[in-house]
Amino acid sequence: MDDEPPFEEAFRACYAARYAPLFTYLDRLTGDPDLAADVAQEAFVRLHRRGEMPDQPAGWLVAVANNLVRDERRRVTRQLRLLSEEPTRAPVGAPANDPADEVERAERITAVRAALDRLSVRDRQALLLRHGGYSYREIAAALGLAETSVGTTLVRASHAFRAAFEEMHDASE
Amino acid sequence: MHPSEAALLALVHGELSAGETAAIRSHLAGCAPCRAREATVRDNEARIGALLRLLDHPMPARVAPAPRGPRFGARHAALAASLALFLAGAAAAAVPGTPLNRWFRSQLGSAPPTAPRAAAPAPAAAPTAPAQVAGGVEIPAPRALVVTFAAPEPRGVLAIHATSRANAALQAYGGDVAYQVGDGRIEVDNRKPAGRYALEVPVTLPRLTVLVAGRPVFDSAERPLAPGLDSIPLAPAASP
Repeated sequence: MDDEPPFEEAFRACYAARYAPLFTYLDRLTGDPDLAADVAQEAFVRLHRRGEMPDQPAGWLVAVANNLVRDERRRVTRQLRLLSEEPTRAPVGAPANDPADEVERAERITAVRAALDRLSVRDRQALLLRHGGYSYREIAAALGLAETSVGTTLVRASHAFRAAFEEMHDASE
Repeated sequence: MHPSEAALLALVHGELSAGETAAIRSHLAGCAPCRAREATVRDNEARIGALLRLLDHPMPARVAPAPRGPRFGARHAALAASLALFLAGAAAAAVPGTPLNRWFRSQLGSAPPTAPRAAAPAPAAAPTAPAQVAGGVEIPAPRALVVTFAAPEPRGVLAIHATSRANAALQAYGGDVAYQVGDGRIEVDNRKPAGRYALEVPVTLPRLTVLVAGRPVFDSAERPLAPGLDSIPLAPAASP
């Protein structure tokens, strides 16, 4: 019985490799790092309970996590900071010292959130996944898309995001 | 033929096959407008990436490297922690509502009957009385924790989550498992095995020991609690 079951080994490797990208994606998606960490951990709990690795673990975890986020938002028992709202906790990035820089930074963050909020759910998720380092294949598995349509989804999402950001950012000036 | 924007984006993303990449590169070499398009796509990608990074927060403490408390915490404090007998169902509402816990309860509340059978009545609503989670038990802020499983489960697995929460909680998925909870210890009567268990412990817990049928299978003195998620099989090592 000394042999570790293969699933446990695969699971542990998956956790080590995939927790951080999943957290980053969810943090950007929700704007709520505590929720992001809880959802990421719960997704791994589900994977563990599943007892075998899916074909696309990274995509599988994102799909489960997306559902959990959606359920959590429906539940409304938690004061969720929605994308369109002002972030109440300062994101990391480079700490700005100059108050003017800080204001500019806060405005940009608000504009980024508002711009993301303008996108369709699928476009927003695809954009965040791509910029979180997920491959087209993983994005396809996560969002239930054909791999061949990931590219056009990303083109559309990038255009929509840039247009919305410019509009938001200009409006704040 | 000029490459589509999706093709240029895929090129920037490194998502094209070697053949496709070579074909587009050779087109770009001879087509200045497409070179400019490719540069624009690349710049836009970098700009979006920089904007999205503005949203990042540090990971909450449960996955950040955690400071280790004193290995052998004050024993007297453990005594003060609680007399952790509990009554099934009595204190469910008292569970602090962390989202993970809520999920545990909401997702698993309707799971096969895993409601713990209490060994003795709880002291009435003491603030430190352990609370019940669905199919599991929770004990407040243990100073050290010994978890014992009555029977080996050759295919059973215990997932250990080291979290930033103060409480420890043990959850069974399935089976029909009874718990007895005491001062810094959780005893699991798993003669009807659940197969899978999740143990949530504070990442700062000075010492965690897991015993299966009286034999140690985990000791944080030998294998320090890993921040995040760890898992161990519930079968004791075979006798030599």
